[in-house]
Amino acid sequence: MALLEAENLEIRFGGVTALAGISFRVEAGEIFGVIGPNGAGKTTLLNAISAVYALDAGTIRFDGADVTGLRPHRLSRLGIARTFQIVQPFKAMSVRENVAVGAMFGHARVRRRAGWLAAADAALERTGLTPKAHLMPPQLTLADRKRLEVARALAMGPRIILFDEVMAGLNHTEIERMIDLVKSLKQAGLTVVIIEHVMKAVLALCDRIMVLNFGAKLAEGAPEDVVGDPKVVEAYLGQRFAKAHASAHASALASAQAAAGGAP
Amino acid sequence: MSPAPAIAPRVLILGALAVLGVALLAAAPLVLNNYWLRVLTTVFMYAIVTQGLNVIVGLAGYHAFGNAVFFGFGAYACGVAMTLGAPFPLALVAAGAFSALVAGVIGWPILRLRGHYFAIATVALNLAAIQLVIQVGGITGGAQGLPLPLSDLPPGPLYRAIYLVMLAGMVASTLLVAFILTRPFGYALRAIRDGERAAGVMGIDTTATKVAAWAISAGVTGFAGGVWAYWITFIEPASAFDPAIGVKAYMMLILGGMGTVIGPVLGAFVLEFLSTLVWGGFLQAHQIVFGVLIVAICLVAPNGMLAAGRALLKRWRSRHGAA
Repeated sequence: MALLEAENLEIRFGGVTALAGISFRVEAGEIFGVIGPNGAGKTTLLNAISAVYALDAGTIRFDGADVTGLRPHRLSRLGIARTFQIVQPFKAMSVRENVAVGAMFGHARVRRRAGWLAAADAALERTGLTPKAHLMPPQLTLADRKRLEVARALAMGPRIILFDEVMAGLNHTEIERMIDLVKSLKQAGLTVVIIEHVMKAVLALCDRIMVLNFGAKLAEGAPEDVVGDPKVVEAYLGQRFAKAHASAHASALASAQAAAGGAP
Repeated sequence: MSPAPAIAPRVLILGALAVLGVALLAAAPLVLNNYWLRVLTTVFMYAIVTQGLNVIVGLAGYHAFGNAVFFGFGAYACGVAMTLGAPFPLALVAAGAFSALVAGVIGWPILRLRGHYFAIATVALNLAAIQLVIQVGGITGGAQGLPLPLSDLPPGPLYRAIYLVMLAGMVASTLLVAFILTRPFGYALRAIRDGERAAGVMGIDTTATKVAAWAISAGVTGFAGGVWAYWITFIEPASAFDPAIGVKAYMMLILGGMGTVIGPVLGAFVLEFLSTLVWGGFLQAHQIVFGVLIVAICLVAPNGMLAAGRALLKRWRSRHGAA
């Protein structure tokens, strides 16, 4: 069953159409990836889903109910959590308090101090931030600040998490750890939407991928199919490369066939 | 893991000191002369107004340059209620409630906006209120002002009673801020101050939270205005809605430390005593001397005296710890 359904989402900034009628469904329990070149509208799409931007047209359904036009806090209480690409910690609160706010006000809505601290500590444990619980956000490395974004979203007790480039700016070891974390979320039954440039992470994690280009949907499907799609290659690397890629692909195929044909 | 046990003894000591200080202040009218009684009553009054400002500016991060408008609304609500025959305690409740109501009704539309519009709107509100009272006239007395019914008490005991009511207001508003900071509401305000967009996405109803904060701020400020009206027994629009009250409270808030529990009280004491001393020492040039002092303090302790004190303590400790 689709947990999140978007239909014909449209957002315009003046004369620029940032999202030109995008439709997709995210099934419960899957990891759904959104990729695309810079400026394709990925973050705008995420902002549209989490109501940070108002839609110019389209509808969004969550768990079967129409949630179009609800304000961000209402969505968060329904169980939609997100992270920000540009991390936005509450800089005058400790790491632990930052995460506790998620437990106080998200889907979980824990009203007792012991409860929200326990929820915060659990989220910190899961993201590996426990040793840094009492630091202030400006004292954290970028990787830890990205983890803080994830911990805050987790403490909200969400049903779906939207990750906006949580891997960007991380080194290889940190990316591996983040991939493991996202995998563990799926195992725990969470539905995940990730926007990502790091293809290694996308391929390792996603059940399905949607590719955006110039605010429109270019392709959608299983990761291996989408990545091989000539349209996608062209969008990322340009027409010349796409042609070269296609002919290399074709000649490789032809020689493989010739080899196969010549064998008996 | 939890730092609570480490902090507890310090909190106990500070709490004991605060209780002792309040007890001394409560007993002070027995020995104080009328002049110092008046100075201290003024300090308490400003501490309440500053604490009210602290809720919306210090905690929520929304600048309200015209917040003293609620001081005026409180004064007039108290004056009108007493003219209609309400006893003083009931009139004080009316002062707080009416101010909070005004903030709620006006805040609902204007606090949807983010950023500086709100600060400007509060200034406009302050100026408009003066005209409003003058135009409405009638029971408010309009431009002629409003004399409040006189108390049955003789002046001496009355001023002591008002001193104690202001002191109680200062303690109550400080405890209110301390309480708010421990509740999800307090976390919501600090979250809005540090990043309103993230706060909304994390489930905080930002508009409702801001409106509630402003209503509390207005209620506290209105209470001080109500007591003030009864204290001076005659109010007029220009003095009740004097923007200078808000400016002074702002200076006290900055001086003491925004968003702290005790900072506003500290700021009120230091600034009011300072201005009283300067007034007495420089009869001709007190405004200039006072102004220069304020600039100097802002340069030395831009984040307030509490932050500056903590930094000093830390430096002293590290120097002596290292040696």
